[in-house]
Amino acid sequence: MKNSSVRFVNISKHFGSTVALDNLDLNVEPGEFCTLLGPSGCGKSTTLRILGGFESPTKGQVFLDDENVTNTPPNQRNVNMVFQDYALFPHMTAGNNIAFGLELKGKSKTETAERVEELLKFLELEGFKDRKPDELSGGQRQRVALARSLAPDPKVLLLDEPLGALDAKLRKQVQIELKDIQKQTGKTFVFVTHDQEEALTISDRIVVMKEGRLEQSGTPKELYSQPESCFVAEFIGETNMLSCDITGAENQQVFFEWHGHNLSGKCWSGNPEIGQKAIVAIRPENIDCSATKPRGEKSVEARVIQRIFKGSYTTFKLAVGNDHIVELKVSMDGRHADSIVDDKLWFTLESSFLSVLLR
Amino acid sequence: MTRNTRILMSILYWAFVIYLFVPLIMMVLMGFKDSNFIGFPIRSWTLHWYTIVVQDMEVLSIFGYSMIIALSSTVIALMIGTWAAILLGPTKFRGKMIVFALVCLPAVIPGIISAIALRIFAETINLSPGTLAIIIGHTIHNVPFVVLVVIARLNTQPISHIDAAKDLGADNLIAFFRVTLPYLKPALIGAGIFCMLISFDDFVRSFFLGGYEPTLPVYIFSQLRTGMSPVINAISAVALLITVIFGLMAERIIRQN
Repeated sequence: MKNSSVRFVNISKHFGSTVALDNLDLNVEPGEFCTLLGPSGCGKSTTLRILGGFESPTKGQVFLDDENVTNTPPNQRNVNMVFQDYALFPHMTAGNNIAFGLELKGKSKTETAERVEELLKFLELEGFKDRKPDELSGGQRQRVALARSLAPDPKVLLLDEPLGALDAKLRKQVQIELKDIQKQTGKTFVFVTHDQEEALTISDRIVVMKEGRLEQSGTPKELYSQPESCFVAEFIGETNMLSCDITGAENQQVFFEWHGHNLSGKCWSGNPEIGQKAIVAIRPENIDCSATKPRGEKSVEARVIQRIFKGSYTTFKLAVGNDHIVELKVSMDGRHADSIVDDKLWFTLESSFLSVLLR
Repeated sequence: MTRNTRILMSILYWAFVIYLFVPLIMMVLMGFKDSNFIGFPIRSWTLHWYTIVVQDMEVLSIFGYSMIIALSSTVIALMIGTWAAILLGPTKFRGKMIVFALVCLPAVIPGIISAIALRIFAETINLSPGTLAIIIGHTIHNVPFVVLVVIARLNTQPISHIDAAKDLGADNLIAFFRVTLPYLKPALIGAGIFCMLISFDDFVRSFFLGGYEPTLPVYIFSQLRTGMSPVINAISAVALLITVIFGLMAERIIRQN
């Protein structure tokens, strides 16, 4: 546990009778772009506010660079926050907003002015120094807020859904910019969002939270391809959830029965037992389909009940079985989709793409 | 709304406006009449009454005295009112509504009652009638207006502003002076001008709490008792002008923000 930039040990936070955080343990490595992801009310913003010092935990400890800061007020912590509404001071110019933290740190006038110029240049805000926040566009305000938080050179930068107010197109562009800025500055970023797509795009590591607890953490790829729970599988990306009965287990490899088909997949967390009911997740793009019945493979016949052209790919809705119809979402690239002309197709569920979920 | 009702309603409205303004216009006009007697017809015009006002050191010093009282009671009311507004703003505490009601009470108590009460109170604590007593009386009356205006403004300030200031290294005091106070500026200016007008205009409190030196309304009242003179019209017209200027300034500043 050495060398963490941020460490939460057993943090709980209660607001009256509601539990916002429940024994949360969290580690953020130095220089990491770490995203706290979850639906509203999962405690991600509370986590960030505790880290910033705006809330104190009911229980547990917070460490910044191995220094216990649990009871340190925000003005004495070496972290800075970009607020959801940017919280720019409306009576100050962009330049003065950026300089605010530097002045309070006791930096000299020339030092402050130099740093402000440097940040204005870095964030491409030259020429906007003397504008008030209400004379700036949403994207510019967001960059001023970022510059203001970066100015005092914090150890960790906290970002509370800072892209929420931007329109979809600008948002995509700023995501990439933010990632670049994080790389260039080499700072630890802790970013909060409820948008899974944003989290996948921007993060080195994602921490998925649910009801005040850490649900799963890992790289975007790990979370996408190795979900440990139904919540993670459903929350991140599109997925098919199939109910199955476990028939055997060998380490992580789990054998199960699904509608008369004997299949196998990986279980990333928990202890599968024979006879247990479980959910198997597979991504729409990982279901292999063909127009004709493949030979020697365990293929399943299905009917196409919906077909939607989405440009670079096409989505299908398939129905399997006659008595208990199971619907599957499948997506294929254009060429592959064109080969399917009938309402009937065969698909296979490849064991390397199947995740067996016990919770 | 049909065309006819609209016409009827606008006629009624303009009738009301005329009813409001005719006395004022009369007052100003009579101040320019070249005669000792107030009333129509006006045969010739003069600035004589105004020159008397401008040359009368007593009247000028009374103007000044009223201004000093208005300024002092406004400044004190702004400080107390802002403090109370911040106390009553975001923080929750037991009995908050009671404190709020108490703070607002002076605004709804009839002037004559609060004037008598203040007079009795001043005598109990051996405070002789005069400038200080009037300033205290006006301040008490002004505070609720400051509190209401400042609370309204304070409620529109995002909490994140204070969080951001603290995040950047400010303690509570610095955050207040560098972030909250500038945010409150338009409310403070608006409330301040409003308080100046209330104080400048106040008769009852000044009358009950005053010493030998009268404020402007008290002086005008005392002059009236010895008979109407166009000089009073001139004084009133000047007071009206000052009031209108202040009112317009307040309106502009509030609208700008």
